[in-house]
Amino acid sequence: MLKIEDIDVYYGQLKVLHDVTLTVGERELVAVIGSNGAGKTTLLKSICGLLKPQKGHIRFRGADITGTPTHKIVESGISYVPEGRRLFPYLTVIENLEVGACISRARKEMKETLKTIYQIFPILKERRDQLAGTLSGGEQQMLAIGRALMSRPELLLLDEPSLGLAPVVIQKLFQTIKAIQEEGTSMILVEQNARQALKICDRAYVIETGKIILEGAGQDLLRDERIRKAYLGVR
Amino acid sequence: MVSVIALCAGGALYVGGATFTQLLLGGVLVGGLYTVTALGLALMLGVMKILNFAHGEFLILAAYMTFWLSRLMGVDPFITLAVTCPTLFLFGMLCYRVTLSRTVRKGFDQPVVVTFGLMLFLQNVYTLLWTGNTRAVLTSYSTNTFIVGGVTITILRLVVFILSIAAVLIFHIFLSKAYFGKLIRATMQDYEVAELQGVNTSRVYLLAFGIGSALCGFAGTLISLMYAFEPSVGPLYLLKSLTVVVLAGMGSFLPLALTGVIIGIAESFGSFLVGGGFRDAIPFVLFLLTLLLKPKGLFGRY
Repeated sequence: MLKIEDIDVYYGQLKVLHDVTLTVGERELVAVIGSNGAGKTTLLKSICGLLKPQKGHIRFRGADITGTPTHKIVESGISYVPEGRRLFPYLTVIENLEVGACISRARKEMKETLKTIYQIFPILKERRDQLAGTLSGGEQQMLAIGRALMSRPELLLLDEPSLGLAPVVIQKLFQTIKAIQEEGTSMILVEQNARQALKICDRAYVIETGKIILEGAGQDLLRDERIRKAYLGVR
Repeated sequence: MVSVIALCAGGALYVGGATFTQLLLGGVLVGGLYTVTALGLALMLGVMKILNFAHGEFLILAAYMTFWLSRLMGVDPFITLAVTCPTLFLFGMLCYRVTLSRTVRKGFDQPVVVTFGLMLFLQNVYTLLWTGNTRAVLTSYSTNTFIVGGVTITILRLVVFILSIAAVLIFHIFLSKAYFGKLIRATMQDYEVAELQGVNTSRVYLLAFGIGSALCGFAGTLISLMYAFEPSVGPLYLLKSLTVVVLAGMGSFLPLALTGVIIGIAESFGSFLVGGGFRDAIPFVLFLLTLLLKPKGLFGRY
Protein backbone atom coordinates (compact mmCIF):
# COMPACT_ATOMS: atom_id res chain seq x y z
CA MET A 1 0.00 0.00 0.00
CA LEU A 2 2.66 2.46 1.02
CA LYS A 3 6.21 2.23 -0.28
CA ILE A 4 8.93 4.57 0.88
CA GLU A 5 11.96 4.08 -1.34
CA ASP A 6 15.37 5.26 -0.25
CA ILE A 7 14.49 8.75 0.84
CA ASP A 8 16.82 11.46 2.14
CA VAL A 9 15.20 14.28 4.05
CA TYR A 10 16.90 17.48 5.14
CA TYR A 11 16.09 20.22 7.62
CA GLY A 12 17.87 23.03 5.82
CA GLN A 13 21.41 21.78 5.41
CA LEU A 14 21.10 19.04 7.98
CA LYS A 15 20.44 15.53 6.69
CA VAL A 16 17.89 13.96 9.00
CA LEU A 17 16.85 10.80 7.16
CA HIS A 18 19.31 8.62 5.26
CA ASP A 19 18.20 6.14 2.60
CA VAL A 20 15.04 5.23 4.47
CA THR A 21 13.00 2.43 2.97
CA LEU A 22 9.74 1.28 4.49
CA THR A 23 6.58 -0.49 3.40
CA VAL A 24 3.10 -0.84 4.80
CA GLY A 25 0.68 -3.47 3.54
CA GLU A 26 -3.09 -3.67 3.58
CA ARG A 27 -4.61 -3.65 7.06
CA GLU A 28 -1.14 -3.73 8.59
CA LEU A 29 -0.11 -2.03 11.78
CA VAL A 30 3.54 -1.05 11.38
CA ALA A 31 5.43 0.38 14.34
CA VAL A 32 8.41 2.69 14.09
CA ILE A 33 10.40 2.89 17.29
CA GLY A 34 13.46 4.84 18.20
CA SER A 35 14.68 7.36 20.71
CA ASN A 36 14.17 11.13 20.66
CA GLY A 37 15.52 12.85 17.62
CA ALA A 38 15.92 9.65 15.66
CA GLY A 39 13.79 10.98 12.84
CA LYS A 40 10.43 9.33 13.49
CA THR A 41 8.36 12.49 13.21
CA THR A 42 10.39 13.59 10.20
CA LEU A 43 9.46 10.33 8.53
CA LEU A 44 5.76 10.84 9.09
CA LYS A 45 5.93 14.48 8.02
CA SER A 46 7.59 13.40 4.79
CA ILE A 47 4.83 10.92 4.04
CA CYS A 48 2.11 13.54 4.35
CA GLY A 49 3.92 16.21 2.42
CA LEU A 50 4.92 18.64 5.16
CA LEU A 51 8.51 17.87 4.25
CA LYS A 52 9.86 17.00 0.84
CA PRO A 53 12.56 14.35 0.36
CA GLN A 54 15.61 15.43 -1.58
CA LYS A 55 16.09 11.95 -2.91
CA GLY A 56 13.93 8.91 -3.35
CA HIS A 57 10.20 8.39 -3.77
CA ILE A 58 7.10 7.76 -1.75
CA ARG A 59 4.39 5.76 -3.43
CA PHE A 60 0.87 5.29 -2.17
CA ARG A 61 -1.22 2.67 -3.96
CA GLY A 62 1.22 2.87 -6.82
CA ALA A 63 0.97 6.61 -7.31
CA ASP A 64 4.01 8.77 -6.62
CA ILE A 65 3.08 11.22 -3.89
CA THR A 66 6.55 12.69 -3.34
CA GLY A 67 6.22 16.45 -3.29
CA THR A 68 2.44 16.47 -3.62
CA PRO A 69 0.71 19.21 -1.61
CA THR A 70 -0.41 18.02 1.80
CA HIS A 71 -4.14 18.51 1.31
CA LYS A 72 -4.01 16.41 -1.85
CA ILE A 73 -2.25 13.61 0.00
CA VAL A 74 -4.99 13.70 2.60
CA GLU A 75 -7.53 13.50 -0.23
CA SER A 76 -5.91 10.34 -1.47
CA GLY A 77 -6.45 8.58 1.86
CA ILE A 78 -3.62 9.30 4.31
CA SER A 79 -4.30 10.97 7.65
CA TYR A 80 -1.79 12.17 10.24
CA VAL A 81 -2.27 12.61 13.98
CA PRO A 82 0.55 14.99 14.91
CA GLU A 83 2.80 14.73 17.92
CA GLY A 84 1.29 16.65 20.81
CA ARG A 85 -2.22 16.40 19.43
CA ARG A 86 -2.36 19.89 17.91
CA LEU A 87 -6.07 20.37 18.05
CA PHE A 88 -7.74 23.62 17.08
CA PRO A 89 -7.93 25.02 20.60
CA TYR A 90 -10.70 27.56 20.07
CA LEU A 91 -12.95 25.25 18.12
CA THR A 92 -15.31 22.93 19.94
CA VAL A 93 -14.92 19.15 19.91
CA ILE A 94 -17.53 18.74 17.22
CA GLU A 95 -16.09 21.58 15.16
CA ASN A 96 -12.68 19.92 15.27
CA LEU A 97 -14.28 16.74 14.00
CA GLU A 98 -16.20 18.57 11.30
CA VAL A 99 -13.04 20.22 10.00
CA GLY A 100 -11.44 16.79 9.99
CA ALA A 101 -13.95 15.72 7.37
CA CYS A 102 -12.94 18.52 5.03
CA ILE A 103 -12.12 16.39 2.01
CA SER A 104 -15.02 16.05 -0.39
CA ARG A 105 -15.56 12.35 -0.12
CA ALA A 106 -15.69 12.54 3.65
CA ARG A 107 -17.95 15.56 3.83
CA LYS A 108 -20.84 13.68 2.26
CA GLU A 109 -20.57 10.96 4.87
CA MET A 110 -19.93 13.27 7.82
CA LYS A 111 -23.04 12.33 9.80
CA GLU A 112 -22.32 8.61 9.47
CA THR A 113 -18.66 9.02 10.34
CA LEU A 114 -19.51 11.13 13.38
CA LYS A 115 -21.75 8.33 14.67
CA THR A 116 -18.90 5.86 14.32
CA ILE A 117 -16.41 8.14 16.04
CA TYR A 118 -18.82 8.68 18.92
CA GLN A 119 -19.11 4.92 19.27
CA ILE A 120 -15.35 4.51 19.50
CA PHE A 121 -14.94 7.54 21.78
CA PRO A 122 -18.17 8.12 23.72
CA ILE A 123 -16.58 10.87 25.78
CA LEU A 124 -16.33 13.01 22.66
CA LYS A 125 -20.07 12.95 22.24
CA GLU A 126 -20.48 13.99 25.84
CA ARG A 127 -18.11 16.92 25.45
CA ARG A 128 -18.97 17.86 21.93
CA ASP A 129 -19.68 21.55 22.59
CA GLN A 130 -16.64 22.04 24.74
CA LEU A 131 -13.62 23.97 23.50
CA ALA A 132 -10.89 21.55 22.51
CA GLY A 133 -8.29 23.43 24.51
CA THR A 134 -10.13 22.64 27.75
CA LEU A 135 -10.02 18.84 27.44
CA SER A 136 -7.72 16.59 29.44
CA GLY A 137 -4.68 14.97 27.82
CA GLY A 138 -6.36 11.66 27.21
CA GLU A 139 -9.51 13.28 25.82
CA GLN A 140 -7.43 15.46 23.53
CA GLN A 141 -5.65 12.40 22.17
CA MET A 142 -8.97 10.75 21.48
CA LEU A 143 -10.21 13.86 19.72
CA ALA A 144 -7.02 14.06 17.67
CA ILE A 145 -7.41 10.47 16.51
CA GLY A 146 -11.15 10.93 15.98
CA ARG A 147 -10.50 14.01 13.88
CA ALA A 148 -7.98 12.14 11.73
CA LEU A 149 -10.49 9.33 11.23
CA MET A 150 -13.15 11.77 10.02
CA SER A 151 -11.48 11.83 6.61
CA ARG A 152 -12.01 8.05 6.43
CA PRO A 153 -8.35 7.33 5.72
CA GLU A 154 -6.94 4.07 4.44
CA LEU A 155 -3.64 4.80 6.12
CA LEU A 156 -3.45 6.44 9.53
CA LEU A 157 -0.19 7.89 10.83
CA LEU A 158 0.08 8.17 14.62
CA ASP A 159 2.88 10.24 16.09
CA GLU A 160 3.62 9.33 19.72
CA PRO A 161 0.00 9.08 20.82
CA SER A 162 0.92 7.91 24.33
CA LEU A 163 3.07 10.94 25.10
CA GLY A 164 2.07 12.62 28.34
CA LEU A 165 -0.74 10.23 29.11
CA ALA A 166 -1.41 8.34 32.34
CA PRO A 167 -0.67 4.56 32.21
CA VAL A 168 -4.32 3.65 32.59
CA VAL A 169 -5.23 5.88 29.68
CA ILE A 170 -2.41 4.44 27.60
CA GLN A 171 -3.81 0.95 27.98
CA LYS A 172 -7.18 2.06 26.69
CA LEU A 173 -5.51 3.99 23.90
CA PHE A 174 -3.61 1.02 22.53
CA GLN A 175 -6.70 -1.15 22.74
CA THR A 176 -8.51 1.44 20.66
CA ILE A 177 -5.67 1.61 18.14
CA LYS A 178 -5.79 -2.15 17.68
CA ALA A 179 -9.56 -1.97 17.24
CA ILE A 180 -9.19 0.66 14.52
CA GLN A 181 -6.80 -1.61 12.68
CA GLU A 182 -9.28 -4.43 12.90
CA GLU A 183 -11.87 -2.22 11.24
CA GLY A 184 -9.62 -2.16 8.20
CA THR A 185 -7.37 0.90 8.51
CA SER A 186 -3.63 0.44 7.99
CA MET A 187 -1.44 2.32 10.40
CA ILE A 188 2.04 3.52 11.05
CA LEU A 189 2.53 3.90 14.78
CA VAL A 190 5.51 5.97 15.85
CA GLU A 191 6.25 5.50 19.51
CA GLN A 192 8.84 5.98 22.19
CA ASN A 193 6.86 3.50 24.28
CA ALA A 194 8.49 0.60 22.48
CA ARG A 195 7.01 -2.23 24.51
CA GLN A 196 3.39 -1.32 23.86
CA ALA A 197 4.04 -0.54 20.23
CA LEU A 198 5.80 -3.84 19.56
CA LYS A 199 3.09 -5.76 21.37
CA ILE A 200 0.27 -4.60 19.14
CA CYS A 201 2.01 -4.22 15.81
CA ASP A 202 2.36 -6.69 12.95
CA ARG A 203 5.76 -5.47 11.84
CA ALA A 204 8.14 -2.89 13.15
CA TYR A 205 11.11 -0.78 12.09
CA VAL A 206 13.77 0.51 14.42
CA ILE A 207 15.23 3.87 13.49
CA GLU A 208 18.38 5.42 14.88
CA THR A 209 19.87 8.78 13.85
CA GLY A 210 17.93 8.84 10.64
CA LYS A 211 18.64 5.30 9.50
CA ILE A 212 16.55 2.15 9.66
CA ILE A 213 18.69 -0.32 11.52
CA LEU A 214 16.28 -3.18 12.07
CA GLU A 215 13.08 -4.53 10.66
CA GLY A 216 10.96 -7.47 11.66
CA ALA A 217 7.78 -8.88 13.13
CA GLY A 218 6.68 -7.25 16.35
CA GLN A 219 6.92 -10.41 18.39
CA ASP A 220 10.42 -11.17 17.10
CA LEU A 221 11.72 -7.73 17.96
CA LEU A 222 10.24 -7.98 21.44
CA ARG A 223 12.51 -10.95 22.04
CA ASP A 224 15.56 -9.46 20.30
CA GLU A 225 18.38 -8.91 22.79
CA ARG A 226 19.60 -5.64 21.30
CA ILE A 227 16.10 -4.18 21.35
CA ARG A 228 15.47 -5.34 24.85
CA LYS A 229 18.65 -3.65 26.04
CA ALA A 230 18.24 -0.43 24.09
CA TYR A 231 14.50 0.23 24.19
CA LEU A 232 12.80 -2.07 26.62
CA GLY A 233 14.81 -1.23 29.69
CA VAL A 234 16.14 -4.75 30.24
CA ARG A 235 19.67 -4.89 31.59
CA MET B 1 -12.26 50.21 34.57
CA VAL B 2 -13.25 52.33 37.56
CA SER B 3 -11.34 55.30 36.21
CA VAL B 4 -13.15 55.03 32.88
CA ILE B 5 -16.52 55.12 34.58
CA ALA B 6 -15.49 58.05 36.75
CA LEU B 7 -14.30 59.88 33.67
CA CYS B 8 -17.60 59.26 31.94
CA ALA B 9 -19.59 60.43 34.92
CA GLY B 10 -17.47 63.52 35.17
CA GLY B 11 -17.91 64.15 31.49
CA ALA B 12 -21.66 63.79 31.77
CA LEU B 13 -21.83 66.39 34.47
CA TYR B 14 -19.59 68.73 32.55
CA VAL B 15 -21.47 68.78 29.29
CA GLY B 16 -24.99 68.43 30.58
CA GLY B 17 -27.64 65.77 29.98
CA ALA B 18 -28.99 66.36 26.50
CA THR B 19 -25.64 67.10 24.95
CA PHE B 20 -24.16 64.06 26.60
CA THR B 21 -26.80 61.80 25.10
CA GLN B 22 -26.38 63.48 21.73
CA LEU B 23 -22.66 62.93 21.73
CA LEU B 24 -23.00 59.40 23.02
CA LEU B 25 -25.53 58.47 20.39
CA GLY B 26 -23.50 60.07 17.63
CA GLY B 27 -20.47 58.14 18.80
CA VAL B 28 -22.31 54.84 18.85
CA LEU B 29 -23.72 55.36 15.36
CA VAL B 30 -20.32 56.16 13.93
CA GLY B 31 -18.84 53.31 15.93
CA GLY B 32 -20.91 50.80 14.02
CA LEU B 33 -19.40 52.02 10.78
CA TYR B 34 -15.90 51.88 12.24
CA THR B 35 -16.45 48.26 13.23
CA VAL B 36 -17.50 47.10 9.78
CA THR B 37 -14.65 49.13 8.28
CA ALA B 38 -12.16 47.32 10.48
CA LEU B 39 -13.62 43.86 9.81
CA GLY B 40 -11.87 43.28 6.49
CA LEU B 41 -8.54 44.33 7.90
CA ALA B 42 -8.99 42.08 10.92
CA LEU B 43 -9.84 39.10 8.74
CA MET B 44 -6.74 39.45 6.57
CA LEU B 45 -4.59 39.98 9.63
CA GLY B 46 -6.07 37.04 11.46
CA VAL B 47 -6.02 34.49 8.67
CA MET B 48 -2.91 35.41 6.72
CA LYS B 49 -1.06 37.62 9.17
CA ILE B 50 -1.03 40.22 6.43
CA LEU B 51 -1.47 43.88 7.28
CA ASN B 52 -3.11 45.30 4.19
CA PHE B 53 -1.65 48.78 3.85
CA ALA B 54 -3.93 49.29 0.90
CA HIS B 55 -6.98 48.78 3.13
CA GLY B 56 -7.93 52.43 2.88
CA GLU B 57 -7.53 52.37 -0.89
CA PHE B 58 -9.89 49.39 -1.14
CA LEU B 59 -12.46 51.38 0.85
CA ILE B 60 -12.01 54.43 -1.35
CA LEU B 61 -12.35 52.37 -4.50
CA ALA B 62 -15.82 51.38 -3.37
CA ALA B 63 -16.49 55.00 -2.42
CA TYR B 64 -15.56 56.15 -5.91
CA MET B 65 -17.69 53.44 -7.49
CA THR B 66 -20.67 54.55 -5.45
CA PHE B 67 -19.96 58.16 -6.32
CA TRP B 68 -19.82 57.58 -10.06
CA LEU B 69 -22.77 55.19 -10.14
CA SER B 70 -24.97 57.61 -8.27
CA ARG B 71 -23.66 60.68 -10.12
CA LEU B 72 -23.73 59.32 -13.65
CA MET B 73 -26.60 56.85 -13.50
CA GLY B 74 -28.64 58.21 -10.63
CA VAL B 75 -28.47 54.94 -8.77
CA ASP B 76 -29.30 55.24 -5.11
CA PRO B 77 -26.08 54.77 -3.14
CA PHE B 78 -27.45 51.93 -1.05
CA ILE B 79 -28.26 50.02 -4.21
CA THR B 80 -24.66 50.31 -5.30
CA LEU B 81 -23.77 47.90 -2.52
CA ALA B 82 -24.87 45.16 -4.86
CA VAL B 83 -22.12 46.27 -7.21
CA THR B 84 -19.32 47.39 -4.91
CA CYS B 85 -19.24 44.27 -2.76
CA PRO B 86 -18.85 41.70 -5.56
CA THR B 87 -16.48 43.98 -7.45
CA LEU B 88 -14.21 44.45 -4.46
CA PHE B 89 -14.43 40.72 -3.78
CA LEU B 90 -13.05 39.93 -7.21
CA PHE B 91 -10.65 42.86 -7.20
CA GLY B 92 -9.21 41.76 -3.87
CA MET B 93 -8.69 38.20 -5.04
CA LEU B 94 -7.05 39.46 -8.20
CA CYS B 95 -4.63 41.64 -6.23
CA TYR B 96 -3.89 38.74 -3.94
CA ARG B 97 -3.34 36.24 -6.71
CA VAL B 98 -1.09 38.53 -8.70
CA THR B 99 1.01 39.88 -5.85
CA LEU B 100 0.55 38.56 -2.35
CA SER B 101 0.04 34.84 -2.73
CA ARG B 102 3.74 34.27 -3.11
CA THR B 103 4.62 36.25 -0.01
CA VAL B 104 2.31 34.56 2.43
CA ARG B 105 4.00 32.74 5.29
CA LYS B 106 7.38 34.04 4.25
CA GLY B 107 7.74 36.47 7.10
CA PHE B 108 6.29 39.87 7.83
CA ASP B 109 8.45 42.03 5.56
CA GLN B 110 7.43 40.85 2.13
CA PRO B 111 3.67 41.31 2.50
CA VAL B 112 4.28 44.75 4.03
CA VAL B 113 6.30 45.87 1.03
CA VAL B 114 3.71 44.51 -1.37
CA THR B 115 0.65 46.05 0.27
CA PHE B 116 2.44 49.32 0.83
CA GLY B 117 3.33 49.41 -2.82
CA LEU B 118 -0.23 48.56 -3.69
CA MET B 119 -1.39 51.46 -1.55
CA LEU B 120 0.83 53.96 -3.38
CA PHE B 121 -0.06 52.49 -6.74
CA LEU B 122 -3.81 52.72 -6.15
CA GLN B 123 -3.65 56.24 -4.73
CA ASN B 124 -1.94 57.42 -7.86
CA VAL B 125 -4.29 55.53 -10.14
CA TYR B 126 -7.24 57.22 -8.46
CA THR B 127 -5.63 60.62 -8.83
CA LEU B 128 -4.91 60.01 -12.49
CA LEU B 129 -8.37 58.74 -13.26
CA TRP B 130 -10.52 60.93 -11.11
CA THR B 131 -8.36 63.91 -10.09
CA GLY B 132 -7.60 64.97 -6.57
CA ASN B 133 -10.89 66.80 -6.15
CA THR B 134 -12.82 66.08 -3.03
CA ARG B 135 -15.94 64.06 -3.62
CA ALA B 136 -18.99 63.32 -1.52
CA VAL B 137 -22.11 61.35 -2.16
CA LEU B 138 -25.19 63.40 -1.43
CA THR B 139 -28.75 62.31 -1.69
CA SER B 140 -32.07 63.98 -1.30
CA TYR B 141 -32.39 62.50 2.14
CA SER B 142 -28.84 63.12 3.33
CA THR B 143 -29.82 65.75 5.84
CA ASN B 144 -33.15 64.45 7.07
CA THR B 145 -33.35 64.17 10.78
CA PHE B 146 -35.89 63.43 13.44
CA ILE B 147 -35.94 64.36 17.07
CA VAL B 148 -36.43 61.96 19.93
CA GLY B 149 -36.36 63.10 23.53
CA GLY B 150 -34.38 66.23 22.84
CA VAL B 151 -31.82 64.40 20.75
CA THR B 152 -31.47 64.93 17.01
CA ILE B 153 -30.84 61.81 14.96
CA THR B 154 -29.75 61.93 11.35
CA ILE B 155 -31.68 59.24 9.50
CA LEU B 156 -28.78 58.51 7.21
CA ARG B 157 -26.48 57.82 10.13
CA LEU B 158 -29.06 55.53 11.66
CA VAL B 159 -29.48 53.54 8.46
CA VAL B 160 -25.70 53.27 8.03
CA PHE B 161 -25.46 52.05 11.61
CA ILE B 162 -28.14 49.43 11.15
CA LEU B 163 -26.55 48.16 7.95
CA SER B 164 -23.16 48.04 9.64
CA ILE B 165 -24.47 46.01 12.56
CA ALA B 166 -26.28 43.70 10.15
CA ALA B 167 -23.06 43.11 8.24
CA VAL B 168 -21.13 42.40 11.43
CA LEU B 169 -23.79 39.94 12.58
CA ILE B 170 -23.94 38.16 9.25
CA PHE B 171 -20.16 37.91 9.21
CA HIS B 172 -20.15 36.50 12.74
CA ILE B 173 -22.80 33.92 11.89
CA PHE B 174 -20.89 32.97 8.76
CA LEU B 175 -17.71 32.40 10.72
CA SER B 176 -19.32 30.38 13.47
CA LYS B 177 -21.95 28.35 11.63
CA ALA B 178 -20.94 28.02 7.99
CA TYR B 179 -18.59 25.18 7.12
CA PHE B 180 -16.20 27.46 5.28
CA GLY B 181 -16.28 29.79 8.25
CA LYS B 182 -15.05 26.93 10.42
CA LEU B 183 -12.30 26.19 7.90
CA ILE B 184 -11.23 29.83 8.11
CA ARG B 185 -11.13 29.71 11.91
CA ALA B 186 -9.20 26.45 11.84
CA THR B 187 -6.67 27.89 9.39
CA MET B 188 -6.29 30.93 11.65
CA GLN B 189 -5.45 28.76 14.64
CA ASP B 190 -3.05 26.31 13.01
CA TYR B 191 -2.59 26.39 9.25
CA GLU B 192 -0.30 23.35 9.12
CA VAL B 193 -2.75 21.13 10.95
CA ALA B 194 -5.60 22.55 8.88
CA GLU B 195 -3.70 21.42 5.79
CA LEU B 196 -3.43 18.00 7.41
CA GLN B 197 -7.21 17.79 7.57
CA GLY B 198 -7.33 18.26 3.85
CA VAL B 199 -7.99 22.00 3.92
CA ASN B 200 -6.58 23.69 0.85
CA THR B 201 -5.08 26.56 2.81
CA SER B 202 -3.99 28.41 -0.33
CA ARG B 203 -7.58 28.57 -1.43
CA VAL B 204 -8.71 29.60 2.07
CA TYR B 205 -6.24 32.48 1.97
CA LEU B 206 -7.43 33.59 -1.44
CA LEU B 207 -11.09 33.52 -0.45
CA ALA B 208 -10.43 35.14 2.91
CA PHE B 209 -8.70 38.00 1.13
CA GLY B 210 -11.67 38.22 -1.18
CA ILE B 211 -14.16 38.30 1.67
CA GLY B 212 -12.09 40.91 3.48
CA SER B 213 -12.08 43.01 0.33
CA ALA B 214 -15.83 42.59 -0.09
CA LEU B 215 -16.24 43.91 3.45
CA CYS B 216 -14.15 46.90 2.38
CA GLY B 217 -16.54 47.33 -0.50
CA PHE B 218 -19.47 47.39 1.90
CA ALA B 219 -17.83 49.80 4.29
CA GLY B 220 -16.48 52.01 1.52
CA THR B 221 -19.94 52.62 0.07
CA LEU B 222 -21.23 53.60 3.49
CA ILE B 223 -18.25 55.86 4.08
CA SER B 224 -18.93 57.72 0.83
CA LEU B 225 -22.36 58.61 2.18
CA MET B 226 -21.06 59.94 5.45
CA TYR B 227 -17.84 61.71 4.63
CA ALA B 228 -16.14 63.54 1.83
CA PHE B 229 -13.17 61.76 0.30
CA GLU B 230 -10.31 62.08 -2.15
CA PRO B 231 -7.47 59.81 -3.28
CA SER B 232 -5.19 60.47 -0.33
CA VAL B 233 -7.72 59.80 2.40
CA GLY B 234 -7.07 56.05 2.53
CA PRO B 235 -4.33 55.94 5.18
CA LEU B 236 -6.59 57.79 7.63
CA TYR B 237 -9.12 54.98 7.47
CA LEU B 238 -6.36 52.42 7.62
CA LEU B 239 -5.17 53.86 10.90
CA LYS B 240 -8.64 54.16 12.36
CA SER B 241 -9.33 50.55 11.43
CA LEU B 242 -6.01 49.47 12.84
CA THR B 243 -6.84 51.20 16.11
CA VAL B 244 -10.12 49.31 16.31
CA VAL B 245 -8.28 46.04 15.67
CA VAL B 246 -5.40 46.70 18.06
CA LEU B 247 -7.71 47.83 20.85
CA ALA B 248 -9.76 44.65 20.46
CA GLY B 249 -6.79 42.32 20.25
CA MET B 250 -6.21 39.39 17.94
CA GLY B 251 -8.34 36.33 18.31
CA SER B 252 -12.03 36.73 17.77
CA PHE B 253 -14.02 39.29 15.83
CA LEU B 254 -16.87 40.14 18.15
CA PRO B 255 -14.80 42.50 20.36
CA LEU B 256 -14.38 44.67 17.28
CA ALA B 257 -18.00 45.73 17.72
CA LEU B 258 -17.20 47.03 21.15
CA THR B 259 -13.96 48.76 20.25
CA GLY B 260 -15.47 50.33 17.14
CA VAL B 261 -18.08 51.94 19.35
CA ILE B 262 -15.46 52.97 21.89
CA ILE B 263 -13.48 54.76 19.20
CA GLY B 264 -16.64 56.39 17.89
CA ILE B 265 -17.61 57.65 21.31
CA ALA B 266 -14.08 58.82 22.03
CA GLU B 267 -14.08 60.79 18.80
CA SER B 268 -17.48 62.23 19.52
CA PHE B 269 -16.66 63.48 22.98
CA GLY B 270 -13.09 64.26 22.17
CA SER B 271 -13.89 66.56 19.29
CA PHE B 272 -16.52 68.27 21.41
CA LEU B 273 -14.02 68.90 24.16
CA VAL B 274 -10.89 69.83 22.22
CA GLY B 275 -12.33 71.08 18.97
CA GLY B 276 -13.48 69.44 15.74
CA GLY B 277 -10.12 69.80 14.04
CA PHE B 278 -8.64 67.24 16.36
CA ARG B 279 -11.29 64.64 15.72
CA ASP B 280 -9.15 62.45 13.50
CA ALA B 281 -6.26 62.60 15.92
CA ILE B 282 -8.20 60.91 18.70
CA PRO B 283 -7.99 57.37 17.30
CA PHE B 284 -4.24 57.85 16.94
CA VAL B 285 -3.98 58.75 20.60
CA LEU B 286 -5.99 55.67 21.54
CA PHE B 287 -3.77 53.58 19.27
CA LEU B 288 -0.65 54.75 21.08
CA LEU B 289 -2.24 54.30 24.50
CA THR B 290 -3.24 50.74 23.63
CA LEU B 291 0.25 49.83 22.51
CA LEU B 292 1.70 51.35 25.66
CA LEU B 293 -0.74 50.01 28.21
CA LYS B 294 -2.39 46.91 26.76
CA PRO B 295 -0.50 45.74 23.67
CA LYS B 296 -2.51 42.54 23.44
CA GLY B 297 -5.70 44.54 23.28
CA LEU B 298 -8.68 44.28 25.56
CA PHE B 299 -9.67 40.82 24.41
CA GLY B 300 -6.50 39.56 22.78
CA ARG B 301 -5.72 35.86 22.60
CA TYR B 302 -2.35 36.00 20.88
